[in-house]
Amino acid sequence: MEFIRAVGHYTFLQYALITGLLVSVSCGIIGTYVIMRRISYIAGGIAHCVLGGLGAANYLNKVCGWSFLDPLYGAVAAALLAAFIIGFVSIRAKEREDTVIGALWALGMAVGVLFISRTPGYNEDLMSYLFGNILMVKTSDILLIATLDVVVAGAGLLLYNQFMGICFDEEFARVRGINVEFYYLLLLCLTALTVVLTVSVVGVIMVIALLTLPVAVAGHFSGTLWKIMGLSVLLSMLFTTAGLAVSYSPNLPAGATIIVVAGACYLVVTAASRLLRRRKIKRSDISS
Amino acid sequence: MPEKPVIEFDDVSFTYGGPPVLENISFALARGTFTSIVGPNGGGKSTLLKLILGLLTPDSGRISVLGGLPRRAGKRIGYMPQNLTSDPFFPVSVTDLVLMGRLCIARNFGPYTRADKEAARAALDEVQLSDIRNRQFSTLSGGQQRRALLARAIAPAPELLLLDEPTAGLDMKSEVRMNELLGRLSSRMTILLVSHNLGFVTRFTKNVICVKGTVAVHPTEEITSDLLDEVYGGNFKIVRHDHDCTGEDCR
Repeated sequence: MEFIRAVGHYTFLQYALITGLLVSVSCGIIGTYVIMRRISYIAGGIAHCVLGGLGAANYLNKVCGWSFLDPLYGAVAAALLAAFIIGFVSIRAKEREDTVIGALWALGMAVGVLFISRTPGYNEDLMSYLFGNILMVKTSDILLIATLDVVVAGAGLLLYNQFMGICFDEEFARVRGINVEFYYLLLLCLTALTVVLTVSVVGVIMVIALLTLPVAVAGHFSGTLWKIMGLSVLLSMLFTTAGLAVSYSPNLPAGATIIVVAGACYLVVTAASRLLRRRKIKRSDISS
Repeated sequence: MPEKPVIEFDDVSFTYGGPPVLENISFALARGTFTSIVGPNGGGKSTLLKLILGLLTPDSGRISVLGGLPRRAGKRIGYMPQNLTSDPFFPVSVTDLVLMGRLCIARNFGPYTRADKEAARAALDEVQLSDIRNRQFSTLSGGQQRRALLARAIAPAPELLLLDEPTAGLDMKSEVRMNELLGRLSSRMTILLVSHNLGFVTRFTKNVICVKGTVAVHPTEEITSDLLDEVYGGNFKIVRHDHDCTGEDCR
């Protein structure tokens, strides 16, 4: 109740709530593809590269006076660059994919930490990039997030059949005339943009959790891709809102609380699903 | 003027980087034929199929499929793979799976059209899976899964149907059903199937392609035990395996 009252009073909470709901749309749609195409490790690599872009843009903004360069622009550039590099290596030399992802993962973090260390206000910025700070979202951030959200969710839905084709059976999709490499790169770019959006909510380190946990929970309740997608969006909205509400009164970090709520829900649903399955098997054994 | 062959290989060789898998292959298949490709494991059967599909490019020689390059013929080909490389529990319904056969037919992107949905429904009717069209693919039996994949292959109304081991892992009953289905389809499209199961060289088969590094095309009636000994390197006895025969010999 206290949280609901506060939302009515404080703009920063309203912005946080709106950001959480906006990001949930992209997270649910693209997260479903990430899980089905089994590229969550790639999404993790991209997320850690984002720190390099954030750190570099912030440095140029504060130290060099490039005031037009919002750190989010740096994040978008770094994420797309990482997506292209990983995508090309994955297409051209699949056996080296793991090595490249691992290298970019560490390199992105290292570059980010170096830039942040040379930028005034180091500690505060590093913590907000690593663990997110949804309560610090500004009006300009919301506009950028909403624009990216429309692009990502629009492409994800418009190209649903093509993405499902390459996620389910790449060889068959190729026979049918789909440019598999193009759609794979596009999916990585959309993943990169979703990662950037999600970083503003839960930070670089916990991006993967918000991309994958709602999908994992939804998978227990739905048998088709579009239903999983829809349910993932709703669950993401629920987790971000519930996380914000839970964190408000005891003044806990919002990003971490959102992930704990999502993780707890995942564990409970998975355990309950296993228990139900065992009971079902026992019953069918008794009746037979 | 004689009709152009549906598939034409002219002195084609292919290697995966090591020793040649297929060497100096030349053959042609006429429209409307039902052909089986047989040969030992590792003999190059699936490689031959992938060359026809344009998934692999030959090191030398020329391949023509439906009068053009294999890659350009994709929209006029139906393909049923032996195995799916995807997650076996991928959340896809039978209808959604069959609709994938209509990708890039009416539109290159966006949702499926009414024509796509009609074609998918007709394909499901053809393989008698309409009553379970909303079931999740992973929950189907092996025989039902093979028929669903066949429905996906025929959904684009192909001129050429390529099947890789269509009866792999099926029991006798499902194999008979698949046999009947292919018999029906053979009246309206050219069929080429790969099978290591010599028993599945059905009565519909007009030609048998024996693949073991090189290929030789034989009319079905010319297939003898000696020829199969030569291809497989073992002792073979020919048993005609049409399943629906009722004579004393078939018991």
